[in-house]
Amino acid sequence: MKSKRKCIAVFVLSIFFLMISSGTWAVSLKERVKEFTLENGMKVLMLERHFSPTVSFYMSFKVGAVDEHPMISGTAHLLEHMLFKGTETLGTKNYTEEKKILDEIDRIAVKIDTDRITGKKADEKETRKLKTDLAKLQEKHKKYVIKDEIDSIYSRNGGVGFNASTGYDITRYKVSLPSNRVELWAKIEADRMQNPVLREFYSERDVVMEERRQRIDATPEGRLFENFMAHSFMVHPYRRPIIGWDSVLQFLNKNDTEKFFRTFYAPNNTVVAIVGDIDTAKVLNLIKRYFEDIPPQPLPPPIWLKEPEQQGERRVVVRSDANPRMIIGYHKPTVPDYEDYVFDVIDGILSRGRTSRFYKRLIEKEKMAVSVETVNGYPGARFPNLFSIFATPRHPHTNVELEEVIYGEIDRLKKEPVTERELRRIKNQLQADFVRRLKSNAGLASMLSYYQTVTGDWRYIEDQLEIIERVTPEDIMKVAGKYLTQKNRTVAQLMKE
Amino acid sequence: MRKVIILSLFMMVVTGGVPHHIYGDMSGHPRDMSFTPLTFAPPKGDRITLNNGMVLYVLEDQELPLFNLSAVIRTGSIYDPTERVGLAQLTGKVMRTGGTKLMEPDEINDQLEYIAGSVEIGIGRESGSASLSVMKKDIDFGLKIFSDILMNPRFDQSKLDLAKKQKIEAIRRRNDNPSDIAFREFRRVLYKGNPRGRISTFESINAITRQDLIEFHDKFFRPGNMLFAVSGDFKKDVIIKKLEQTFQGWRKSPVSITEAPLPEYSLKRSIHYAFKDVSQSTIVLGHLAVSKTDPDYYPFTVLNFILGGGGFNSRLTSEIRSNRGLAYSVGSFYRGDVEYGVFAAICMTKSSTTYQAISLIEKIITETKENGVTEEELTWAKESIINKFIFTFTSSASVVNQQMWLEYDKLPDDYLQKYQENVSLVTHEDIRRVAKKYLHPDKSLFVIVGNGEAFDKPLSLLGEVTEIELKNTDESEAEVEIRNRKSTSDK
Repeated sequence: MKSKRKCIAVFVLSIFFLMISSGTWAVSLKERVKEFTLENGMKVLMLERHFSPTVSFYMSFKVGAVDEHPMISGTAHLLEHMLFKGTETLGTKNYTEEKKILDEIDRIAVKIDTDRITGKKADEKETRKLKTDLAKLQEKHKKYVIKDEIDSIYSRNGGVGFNASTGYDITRYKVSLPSNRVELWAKIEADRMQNPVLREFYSERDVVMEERRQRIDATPEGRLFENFMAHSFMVHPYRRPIIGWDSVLQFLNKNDTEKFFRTFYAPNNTVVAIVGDIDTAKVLNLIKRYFEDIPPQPLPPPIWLKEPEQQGERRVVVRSDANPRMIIGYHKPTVPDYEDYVFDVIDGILSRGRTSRFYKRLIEKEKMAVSVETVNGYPGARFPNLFSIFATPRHPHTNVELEEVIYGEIDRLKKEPVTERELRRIKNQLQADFVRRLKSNAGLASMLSYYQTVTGDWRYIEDQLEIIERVTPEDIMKVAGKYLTQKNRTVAQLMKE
Repeated sequence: MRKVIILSLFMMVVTGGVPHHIYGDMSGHPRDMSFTPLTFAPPKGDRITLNNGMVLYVLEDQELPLFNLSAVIRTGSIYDPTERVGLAQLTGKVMRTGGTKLMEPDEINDQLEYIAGSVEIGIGRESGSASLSVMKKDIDFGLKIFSDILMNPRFDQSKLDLAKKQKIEAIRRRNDNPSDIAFREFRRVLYKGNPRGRISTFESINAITRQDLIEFHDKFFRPGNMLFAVSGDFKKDVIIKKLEQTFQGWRKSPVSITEAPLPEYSLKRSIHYAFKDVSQSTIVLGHLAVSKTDPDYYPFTVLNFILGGGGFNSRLTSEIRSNRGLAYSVGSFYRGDVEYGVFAAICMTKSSTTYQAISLIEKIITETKENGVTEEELTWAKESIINKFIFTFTSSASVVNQQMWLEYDKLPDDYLQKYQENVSLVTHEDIRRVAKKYLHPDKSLFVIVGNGEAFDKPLSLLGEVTEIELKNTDESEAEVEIRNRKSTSDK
């Protein structure tokens, strides 16, 4: 998915923002972040910044689309939507009464879905009656609902950026508030984590189907990316779209969604990051009061599916009423493997800025492309992932022409050592990125919670420092030679109908 | 050393809420919680005028070893000559990529990227922007490159040719995505006959020469025609001296700009449709609205928040998305410019509910126009806008940028100071009045992109439909390019 893809890219790039020249900063972040683990295993990271009386919250759960089985594909994301619908006390006028109607709605909706799945030639009159009954119940249900109450409360209290995102690896809920509102956040989020009510489930499922049309079906790049992923991975769940295939998405049911919630939204699977104008000790007390009683629970075993070694180049063409584009991907290891950091450097050398090799060669010299970007780490970091190239040819040049030159540049990486100046430039840029990231409360909260969740230790952000510094021109030749091969790549092309 | 006095721009207040329960009582409902009220006096940057007339807003911030400069230039594509639409954009682009009198294009890129610095120039519709970001240790070097680009761009011919080729490819691709088509066509028809509605073409891009860029730059990039916002880890006196020295060779000179005509408020219902073979339609409908400098700006801002700008609880989103599941993206936007404004509702829905969604949007806007809003909605919208306002000032860079833009827009000094108060003064009666005066669902411009054959009802039920033809540019344009290539190599 487009925006999520961007999200993932941002995280992956930030993996190696390290500080050497301004070493004080590396030290200072480690000294400034306060880390706590509640008795139930919930992890809390806090960082005080006092420029303005505001505070940013990121709540991350180590669960995403990879944790679904194929028949419930899209559930992690649908659940994320549903958690905006309220709880037993938020979003309802009388939950006891409301629950009776909700149960009725579920009974009828499940019957309609089942008839559709089984393709049962239901008597048309019967189907029509079911649909009318459902509409009537949904109308009746409205009387008990306080629409989108969580959003309304946060908004009135000055909340901005109230949103969530679902990735392959991780699901995150975020909001920023004026700093006198910390307890409001604690109260709402502790409630959402324990007593969610998946009201308005079926209309929200329709919303997500519209989201799928918007991000994928009606967008040429969306369809290209979906096909690219499905061909890059044969076995690993990274092959499935986060939002779910159309045929699965339309029948996702509430039982499975609730079960998914109960399985994964445990305090021992949760990381909270809070950055801004706070008093750490006071906020810790608040958090203990609201969250520490939530019981921990055993989590499912780790995913044992492994993508087998690729046996040869895979190619896929997507036809569309749009101009050509292309994605090329190579399998590679993920963090904390040393080779992953080498790829971070390769990423910079190939496509970062106007001095990068792809820009100079393909855009300036050959004038074959309008853009060529690389990304290390799609589509996630919990499992071995891809080094990907996104290329857009300039008419009358074709994807295939562009491909040839791209492979030429990749071969050069294998044969000639990169210059010391190129290498130093990339390292300088990564260090500067790190400093610039420290400018925003929300950015810091995002970074801390992401690395803590995915790698198990936020310090990872800084420990990269020395590792990236160690990368040599020989490492790059070696890693390029090992992974950037024809046999190991998948090529997806968008072409005119 | 002179003591730096930080003056408060103003005191900001975040309300305490209704005190229904005791602080820290876990049993209370979140909707009833109250908080210790918050006051905040954001720092204010100093306004400095250099000898040549350049205006700076300067604010020290020692948190990180960084230096940030952003500038706004009074220019824009509204000043493009009719037969050279795209000139402003290309000028901005090639200023950055085309070298300077002192430095080769590649040399600039190499030196700047080696120190992880960035300089960017861009020219939009009604303003231009320039930015510099470097580490503290590289301030001198960064300013040297930045000022050289602003004052002495070389406009290297080969970089201009490249930029034109890139732009032509962008034109070729402009019909790939349905939402791009819808927003572009909305703008084109809304501003018909006005420079704001012009779209670049292969011909207009091909007509642009290096001399055009030189003249465009010379006309607009003058010391008295731009404002700077400077923040970061420096001493104010030192940085002012540095800037004075850096730009001392740039003489004060009069700026003469013929103002572009303002868009005309002609309200007329018109339906425009473009065919795209996709499963989801993009709908945009709206019209011109009140300007930012009109007192009605505040009530209309609140009204738009309630109607479709305020997220889940706004009327359009709540009904069309949440209640009916007809869209993932649906809502409205209102942009108040200095001298005019635009209001529009947008929605993306599957082909088979396109007409239904349009009817609902019309119905919701009409009801709002006729009956106004509820007391509860008004309170929610006002509290939200007032309490979110604090996020306008979360960094030193955002503080000086705000000040710079206020001056660019010629708004009063106390504009931000009075913003919350002005919102708080909006009454029920104001909303009713501005809804009647500025909402015109029956006289809107409708743009719909999608597969009409699969719509639930024909668009002709809305009125007379004008079909937008999306030109397939494959052949004709390739020829133009070949011709162009020849003419370039002839030189």
